[in-house]
Parts: sequence; structure tokens; C-alpha cells
Amino acid sequence: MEQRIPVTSSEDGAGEAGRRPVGLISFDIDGTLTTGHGPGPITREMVERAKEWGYIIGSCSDRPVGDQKNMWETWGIEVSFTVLKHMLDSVKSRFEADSYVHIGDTDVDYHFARVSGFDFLQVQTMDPEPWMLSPEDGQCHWGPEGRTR
Amino acid sequence: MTSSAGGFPRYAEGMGLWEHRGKVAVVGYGYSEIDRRWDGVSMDRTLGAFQLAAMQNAIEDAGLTAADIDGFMCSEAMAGDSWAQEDRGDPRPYFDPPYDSEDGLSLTSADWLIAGMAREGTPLSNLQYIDRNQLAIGQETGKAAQVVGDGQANVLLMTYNMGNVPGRYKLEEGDYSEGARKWSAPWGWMTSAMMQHAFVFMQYCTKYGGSHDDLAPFVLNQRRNGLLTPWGYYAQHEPYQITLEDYLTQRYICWPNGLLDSDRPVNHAFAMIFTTAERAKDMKQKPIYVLSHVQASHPTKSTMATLEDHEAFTDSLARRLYEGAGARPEDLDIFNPYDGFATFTQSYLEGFQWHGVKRGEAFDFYAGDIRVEGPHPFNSSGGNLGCGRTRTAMYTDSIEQLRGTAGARQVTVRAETAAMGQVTPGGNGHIFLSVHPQI
Ligand SMILES: [Mg+2]
Repeated sequence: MEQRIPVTSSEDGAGEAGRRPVGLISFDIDGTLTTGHGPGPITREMVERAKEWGYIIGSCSDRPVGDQKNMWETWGIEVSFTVLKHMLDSVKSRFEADSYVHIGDTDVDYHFARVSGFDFLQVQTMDPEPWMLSPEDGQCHWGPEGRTR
Repeated sequence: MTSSAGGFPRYAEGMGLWEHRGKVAVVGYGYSEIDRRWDGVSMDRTLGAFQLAAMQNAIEDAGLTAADIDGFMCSEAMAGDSWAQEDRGDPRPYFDPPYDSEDGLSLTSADWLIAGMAREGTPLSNLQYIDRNQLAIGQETGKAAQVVGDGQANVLLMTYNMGNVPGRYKLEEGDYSEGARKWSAPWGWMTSAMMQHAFVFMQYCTKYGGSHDDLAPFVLNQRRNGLLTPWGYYAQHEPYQITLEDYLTQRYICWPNGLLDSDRPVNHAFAMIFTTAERAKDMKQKPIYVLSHVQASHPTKSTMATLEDHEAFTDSLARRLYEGAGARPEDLDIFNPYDGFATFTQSYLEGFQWHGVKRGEAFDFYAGDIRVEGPHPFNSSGGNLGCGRTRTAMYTDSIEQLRGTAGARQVTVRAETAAMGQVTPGGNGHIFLSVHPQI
């Protein structure tokens, strides 16, 4: 059994008592990230920003784990987890966080988010999260395919 | 013009040799590019555009022009989901002609395809025979051969597609499954197909021993063969091999049928050209003769067929196909049975007794060397599991193996005959091909 990974202290070195809340975001790939088949609206820049802001990030997809890892390597982003869709609950047991969110595009994402104790955000209809907004103009710049799917 | 053919379908036992054995030949084939889905934007990558390309490629492969074609056959059934999706309350607009209806997007009618060929400067200007109502390619290839054998067409262009547009695939049910379908398809269309084959598969494991894990070598090898098929979906878009661990940890869709046991819908089209053996003699390609074709359409006794049913159905299928060709199991070199779900392919393998495999022996066979380089290159096409849900990889591979042009997939054993078909044991069509006009 893997040990649950505790929340890391925040960048300003505050201890456990004064730490900032840490969120965990699980990304579906196909239909959710711009690298998916078909391409979704969430861009590499958004994901990178989420990580920079301190979110624990990773992917939860029906793609084989090896392919998920290859995808992140191609994007040049080191993630904390890559799990199969039906194993999302393992992420919750591995990582301690204040909030758990899965972002995806299908009923299957909704289903596994719910049964794994995650909040679910439907990528086609969600309000942009703060980490999705461009620091330059404060706007949300979805990927080139937009959110039409 | 006519749309009937003598001797079709061929359902009956004891029909003897096919009356046109060796007198009809496949002389061309072509296929389109392949996408997971149409993107809703690229008008040069619609199902219709892909199908026109496949047809033109087949004509070119045969060394013909469109004017040489006098017979045309297609399947007008919707290939995947509808584009408009009005039934879902989320209607999408159509486009300028020729995409101002579903035609060309989620299905292709004969009229649309014929008009498209004219639009593209390759008019099928000499058609004497048009057949628009074929169920699927398994039946369609048999009928194409029969039509040419019966003399209703001399050079017949047959085409087939499988489509996929954005959205959920084939969501045939609304919020509720009503009537009898509340029992047979409680979660929609595909669950009914999966439940059927999962049920028979579990009966198989109970009767002969083994488990779902025993399908792993077969499914992994299908992907491997698919990756050796340059045009296939995985070779084109997701070029990685799945591992045993991937298989054993896959998500179940309808236990024990998992994600990797199920073919992935794609947008793709295919075409083949049939002509008489006489005409084929001096054509561009080496003729591949049709020795036999048969079909099956079995009503079930209940909402589900049983293992006993599927074994009887596939025993009959193999017996009739071999009989029509004047062949025995040991005469069959290339065997590309259907694999839309991995859980039923063993019904065909054992029914045809390919490489001596008898009932209950498929798992042991899968555990042996079934690679294309090896002694038992089973399903050298990679099928739907290896190439995407085209339903036609079995045909392109069989033709290429018999021509000796299968490249990295070329088998090292004898490749003079081939059998292939689709779809399921209860309803299908199969065809027997050979480089010789008779065995
Ligand atoms: Mg998705």
C-alpha cells in the first residue's frame, strides 16, 4: 500500500498551520486537453500555470498509462500522477489535498469523478478557473478548436 | 437498372460449389485516410470526401478509369452517429451543398457518391447496375461477387464506410430504454451487443476453462498487426503498442468485455473492384479470384443467443464457405475473421478450424506464436482492434497478403488463399479468395 503523500508547504515557507490550501486537478485528455483525440480546449499554458500556482496535477484517462506519460513528456510538464479512468480513486488515496477536481468531457468522466469523491467540471460548459486566465489580458484563451464539441 | 441478384444471399446448407467459383476476381482496392472523428470543419475530410477518395483509389489501383465501371454498390446505412443530432436537443447546422443534409456527413447515399464522382471530374458515366442497400461489407462483398458472376455487371465498384462525428457514438436510446429494449439494451445500443458477447464468452470460459485474461495475447497481437498497417488508425494517430499490464488493468465496459476488447469508431472509407475472371486476365493487377461467398442471418430464441447457438452458427458458416470454394480448413492460408469485440473472434477461429484449432482450443492457440512472422499468423490485418472500426482492414490485408504486398505484415507462410468477413456469428457475410481460380 502506497503512503499518502502529504500536502507540501507553500512557497513562502509557511508551516502546516499557516499553509495555503492545496488543490488537486485531474485532467482527462481526449476531448479535454488540446493534445487529445479530438483536441479539447485546455491548453498547455493553462496546465502549466495550474502547476505553477501550486496545484497537484496529473491525468486520468482511458489512454494507457504509458501513453499518458508520453503525452506529458511531449508537453514538457512533470505531473504527479497518470492513472486510468477507473482508477481515479487511487489518486485521492495517494495525495492529501484540500480539494479534488476532475475535468473532463464525457459522462464517463462525470461518473468516475463522482464515485471517486472528486468534484467534476465539464470542460465544454465550465466557468474558467482563475489559473485558466491569461496573466497578460485576464482572458481565457481556449485552444484553437474552442469548446464546440 | 436492376437491384436484384440471383443466388444471393447464400444461407442454405448443401449448396455445393459456388456456381461462379473462380469466374469472378478482385482487381482493385482503395481506401481513404483515417481520422478518429470528422472535426466538423474540414470539408476535405468528411465521410463523403473520404469515400470518393477510396473509390478513386480503387479505380486507379485496378488501372481503370471511372468510365470503365458499369456496376456500383454501396451501403446507405448511417455509419456512426447523425451529424445534426436534433434528437438530442443540441442541433448542429448543415453546410453549403453538397453537405446540406446528413448525406455525405454521417452516411453516403449512392446518389451522393455518384454525383460526387461527377463533381470531381471522374464521372461514373456508364453505370448499368446500381445497388444501394447493402447491410454491411460482409454481405456486400458476397453480393458484389454474385452480381458479376450473374452477369449483371462486368466491372463493379463496391464501396463501404464507417463514420464518426463529434459526440457520443451511436447513442440510440434517449433517456430511457423502452419496450423489450429495457431488457436487452438498458444502457443503449452498444451495451446490447457487448452484453450478448460477454454472456457467450462467459459460457465459453465455463465450458472450456480459461478467463478473460486469456484474450490478452490475441488483443496485443491485433494492435501489433495494426501498427504494421501504415494507414490504420493506431499507426497514424496513436502509434504505441499496448502492454499486458494495459490489458489486465483495462476498464470494463460490460464485464468481462473491456475497453481494449472493443473497437474504436473512426471516420474512414474503402472500395473494391470486382470483375469477371476473363476481363481480369490482362488487367494491371494480378487477379484474386473469388471462390465462394456465404451469408448468415440467424434469429435467436430469446433476447440472447447462447454459446451453443454461436458454435452452431459458425460451424455452419465455415462448412458452407469451404464447400462453396471446394476447400478444406488446411487450404485456408490467410484468415481475417471479425474482431469488433475480442470476445467473439474465437467462435470463427474454431468454427473454421484454422490451423487445426478445434472448439475450446482458442486460448491455447492465442498463447502460441500468432505473429505475422510466425507459423500461425492469425488475423494478419490487425482487424478493427488494430486499425480502428473500419470493418475493412480484413479485406485490405487479405488482398495485400495474396498480392505479396503486405510489407511488414507479409506472412512467411503460404499466402494463396484468404477468408474474411464480418460481423457477428448471428449475422454476417464471408468470402473466400484465392490467387488460383480453384483449389
Ligand atoms: Mg475525454
